[in-house]
Amino acid sequence: MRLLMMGGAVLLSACASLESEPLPEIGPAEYGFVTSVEVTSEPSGETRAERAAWGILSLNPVILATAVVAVEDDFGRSEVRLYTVELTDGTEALITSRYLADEGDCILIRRPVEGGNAVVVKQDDTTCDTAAAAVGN
Amino acid sequence: MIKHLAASFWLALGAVTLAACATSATVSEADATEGISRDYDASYDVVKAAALQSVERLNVNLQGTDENDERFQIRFTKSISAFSWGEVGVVNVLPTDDGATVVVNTSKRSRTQITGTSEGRFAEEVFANIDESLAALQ
Repeated sequence: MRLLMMGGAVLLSACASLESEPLPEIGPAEYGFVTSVEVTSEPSGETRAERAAWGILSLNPVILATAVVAVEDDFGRSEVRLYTVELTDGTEALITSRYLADEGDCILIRRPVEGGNAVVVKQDDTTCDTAAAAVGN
Repeated sequence: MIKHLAASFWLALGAVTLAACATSATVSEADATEGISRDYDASYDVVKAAALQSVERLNVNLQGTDENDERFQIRFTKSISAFSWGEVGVVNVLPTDDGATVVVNTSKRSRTQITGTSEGRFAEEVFANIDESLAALQ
């Protein structure tokens, strides 16, 4: 039984060393004004069950309880923002990002080619005005 | 009597164990300049985006971001493994006259643990990723 739980725990958290994914390929620069921001949350990839599985291996109820209880309130959740952006070419874009921008901000967007969170950089309003003028808007 | 002693022992042990644990608040509420830092001569807004992309590429759990007048902060945790009870960390981006300073502050959840990812290792990886992102964004 203990061996089975150990196997499960190892499978649940196999990656121990710190590693980075390759830099994602991103699309061309797009500019636009943020028209709405919605804050959402999604599972972050770590669960209390995973910690409990490791705690059980210790066969010590105090360590088990500590492994599960001694974590932050928002443990296991990840905040992401859903932005609606009116691009300077007149189209609308829906993107997700953890970068912080407010409604009305002019932003630069670089969308990953293979999907995922966009790279967002806040800009001066004049940057969006110039980009709009360049495409005749 | 023995039962009471045993219960007291477990309660005391539990309290000591809990006190030795770090949570996200340990690093997110610490001084923004605490940790390993590096200066960048790119603009504050660009460095924020690069720092965010840097952490998103790591095999950590990104909890969220927030910003105040002093710094932009990225909070993350690293999962429990066979070698560690997990780690908590923040990357703070502070505006400077010449650009921005990035500060990496991490802590092991179990402060008595020898194994696990060190703050130096986190900083090394975060700074390397930021360099790559800045080269792509500028």
